[in-house]
Amino acid sequence: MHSDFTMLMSVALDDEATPDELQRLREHMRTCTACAGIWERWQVVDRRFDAAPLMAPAPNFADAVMARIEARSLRRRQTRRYAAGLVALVLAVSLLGLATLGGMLYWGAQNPAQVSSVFFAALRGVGTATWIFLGVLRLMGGVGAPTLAAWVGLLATLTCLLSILWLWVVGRDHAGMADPAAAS
Amino acid sequence: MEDQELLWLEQARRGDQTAFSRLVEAYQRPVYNLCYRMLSNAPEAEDAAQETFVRMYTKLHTYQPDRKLSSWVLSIASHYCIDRLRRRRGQWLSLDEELMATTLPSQNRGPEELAVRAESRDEVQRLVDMLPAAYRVPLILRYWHDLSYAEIAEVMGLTVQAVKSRLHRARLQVIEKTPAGSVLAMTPAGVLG
Repeated sequence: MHSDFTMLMSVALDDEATPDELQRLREHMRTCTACAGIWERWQVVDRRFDAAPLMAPAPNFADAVMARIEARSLRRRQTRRYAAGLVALVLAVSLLGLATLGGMLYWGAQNPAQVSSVFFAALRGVGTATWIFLGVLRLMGGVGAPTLAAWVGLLATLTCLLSILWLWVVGRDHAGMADPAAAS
Repeated sequence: MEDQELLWLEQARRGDQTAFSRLVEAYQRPVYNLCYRMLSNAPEAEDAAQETFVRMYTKLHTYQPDRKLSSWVLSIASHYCIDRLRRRRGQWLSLDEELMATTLPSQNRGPEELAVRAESRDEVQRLVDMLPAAYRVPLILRYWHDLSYAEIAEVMGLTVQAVKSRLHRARLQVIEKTPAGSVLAMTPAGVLG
């Protein structure tokens, strides 16, 4: 019921009330003690707020702001540089990959027979590796620690594969020495 | 003064850091005061005020000359402080939960200790702290920056009617939350002139 008048009081405190509004408020407060009491309390609070000081920052505030701006722009420049480097790396790797793929396709078109033999050899290699890995995994099953078993299995598989590769290289060299014509 | 500031702004837009530093010097006090009154903590206010100017620097090209420069700067500061208060509220909620779990036995502080703690803080600031952020901004802009309803509306992106209403509600809340015998113990000066 008095909210219209408390609104008027607030506007009056802000010096935004029209003369008519002020007159209405004055007349109302002559008869309404409740509103007159509220007005008195609001005036006290208003004066208290008006008297509160404007706070000031530290003396070197502007320097601190400029240093922060400089640090921020330096970081932005660095990020931009890293991003540019990453894009260049991705482009270089992509180009290299495309060139390799192109070369392989060209080589495959020239030597179709060798493509199938290379493909099947790779397939056999993957099959052998899987077979060894699963075998070692089964052996390690008794350890009771699946992660440890998997790691040991993987390492054993890699060791086996490297050993096979090494034996193949050594065997090839021996064959070359035994038959120089075949090696050349 | 406003013309000189607009000149600095134009120079800062072209990359002149000295001109921008002059703008910082011109507005550091109102911006810091707004941040301090909003956040009620000096180191946090310093950080918020610095961040306001960093944001101002990165947004220099978006400034519209038809807008008052001070309104624009205060608008950046008030929005940043409101965001910060929202984040702080989330942090305090989780902190309150921790305190509930760990400090229940020490909650029996005597009334004297509580009274001493309450009195030791700036009473006006304590009243501002009790208000929601949406009511704090118009109150601060009205009392410490002497802005009119129209100017507050411009800073906050509200209508004049909304500003009027928020100030009214803010005052009602201040009176509601004021303990008897503190601020209100003072004698009122005059009645309507």
